Amino acid sequence: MDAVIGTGNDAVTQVAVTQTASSDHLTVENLIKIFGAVRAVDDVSFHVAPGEFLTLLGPSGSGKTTLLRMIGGFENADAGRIVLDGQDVEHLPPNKRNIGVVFQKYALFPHLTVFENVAFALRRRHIGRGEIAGRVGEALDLVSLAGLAERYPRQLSGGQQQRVALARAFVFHPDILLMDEPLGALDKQLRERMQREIRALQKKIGITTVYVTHDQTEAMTMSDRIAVMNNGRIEQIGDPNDLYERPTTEFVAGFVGDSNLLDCSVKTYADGIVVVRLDTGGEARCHAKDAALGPAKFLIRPEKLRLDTRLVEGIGSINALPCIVAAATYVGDYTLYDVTVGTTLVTVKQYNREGETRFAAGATANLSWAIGDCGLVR
Amino acid sequence: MIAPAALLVGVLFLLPIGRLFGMSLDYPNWTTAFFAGLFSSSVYVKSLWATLRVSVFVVLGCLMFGYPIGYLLATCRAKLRPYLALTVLLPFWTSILVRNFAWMYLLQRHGTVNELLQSIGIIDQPLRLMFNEFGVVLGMTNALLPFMVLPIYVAIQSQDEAFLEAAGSLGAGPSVAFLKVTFPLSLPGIYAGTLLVFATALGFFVTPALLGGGKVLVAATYITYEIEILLNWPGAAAASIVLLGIILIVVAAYMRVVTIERLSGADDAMA
Repeated sequence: MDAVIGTGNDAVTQVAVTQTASSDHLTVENLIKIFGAVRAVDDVSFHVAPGEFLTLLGPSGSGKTTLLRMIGGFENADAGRIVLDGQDVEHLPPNKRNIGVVFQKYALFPHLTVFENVAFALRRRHIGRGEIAGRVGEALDLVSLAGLAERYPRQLSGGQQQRVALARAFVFHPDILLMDEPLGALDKQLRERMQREIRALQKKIGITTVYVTHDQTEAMTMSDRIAVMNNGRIEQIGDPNDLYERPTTEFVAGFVGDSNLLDCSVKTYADGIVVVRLDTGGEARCHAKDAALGPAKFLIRPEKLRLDTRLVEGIGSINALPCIVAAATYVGDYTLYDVTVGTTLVTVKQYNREGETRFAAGATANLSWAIGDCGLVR
Repeated sequence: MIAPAALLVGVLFLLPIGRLFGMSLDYPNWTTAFFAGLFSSSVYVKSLWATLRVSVFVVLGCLMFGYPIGYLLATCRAKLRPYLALTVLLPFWTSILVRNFAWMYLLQRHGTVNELLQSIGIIDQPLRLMFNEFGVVLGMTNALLPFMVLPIYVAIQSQDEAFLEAAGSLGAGPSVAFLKVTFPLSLPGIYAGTLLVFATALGFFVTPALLGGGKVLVAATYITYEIEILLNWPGAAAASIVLLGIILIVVAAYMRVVTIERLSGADDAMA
């Protein structure tokens, strides 16, 4: 809690109390947005540190775009606070918030050249002609578009337009960069390249960024932290490793990365290890923090599973169950096996390496994995 | 593929024009005397200047009133739009004769406008609002307004909202965003509306005839005079051909200045 009190000579004694850490660049508190009967954003709160790259990740309708638009000032909040660089901004229109926005369809001004598009914000700030030329040139260099300044947007490819949109958004050094699924319209190769370029650029300029996407790979590769959203709420917020290895809800476990979620019930708990009985048959062990017994979901990622020809019992720090291979799909760098454990279908991802056994449909196999490679999700 | 359409254009359009051209050359006598006759006095030339002058003012009037209406129509709340559209379209669907008589009722010496202004005390004597170019321009502007409003409406309405949001995010307030983004992107609508209004105004007859009361001579009323009073069909045909030629030249010159691409807005705001 910070308290600022004015001196006795002032007519008014000011007391400003904040609960946010003074190092937070953006703070969103209890934000709510309702469209008719739907709570598009349902009591959302989070902080973003200066220079941090935070991604709002979720399926369509999760509220991530609405949330981003509220931060930008394009939608009014029905309740809640938005604090940007120490200032309450939820009552301010977008043009007073000092934000840079990259829209999904870029929204480049078609009647202006690339130069004028990028210079647009600078001209609004009454910056001298020479300085504008210099800064626009720098920005275009940073996005590798030097030499295209006199073209019109319609003469550029999708990737080039995307870069102009980016240059236009950061050239005037806004407090924060907001990006709404900017790579959706690009093909896979270009998209992956742009992901790396955007991230590198963001780190280089050091600008606080909030990024929206439904693509979890994109979120994982680019972000410092990810907020996974579902039905207007943040289910979990953490760095990519946290979300992948320690998902706290079933939704996050299923949405981030591939997963096998098996119904089970917790039987015993001792020394940080639980023993569960899988509904589909058999027992398994994993690490857990609490001792709550009863039904839960057992999570094992496909790449953590191992198939062997020799059937063994699970012992020590290894879980093992017999299974039957239902299907094998060769993907190139790996092979996906669908195996049945009891009555449940489990996906196994095996990287294709010399010496790895290939299994055909119908074969019996031993499914094993380390205790540390699985977990409970409620 | 275009053969049926070409045939249609040929029969319905080129044939009558051809016949008119023949009439102006006094088929079967084949003389250019009637064309020369047009310029024997200054009457026809004066009527051409009047036509041009009136048409330019009508375009300006339509721009002045039509742009705000088109803008409002494009940016108003969806619930309001049908009612606003009706205020533009309802007169459009009313007979032009009826509308002109309504204007006469309003503008005449002891009409509504003069009575109102006199009763408030703004004027002592009734103003001459009719039977002059002012009344004609007013009536024609009213009649041709939808031709300006609709293209402008389309040009503004079709702009992606993201443009204005982008302008806002870059620091532009509402008026700056309008000046720098909405207005430039609506130019194709202005070009289209201007051309429609101007070309139509050049050939306009009913309003100059009624609200002009015989005192305003434009090309159309001149041609009518030649037919009805002087029974000079070849002369009237010659005058028509000259007017048609002028309109074609004006349109061609306009197209040069504003390329067809811009008119259809194909390259601009539709992205």
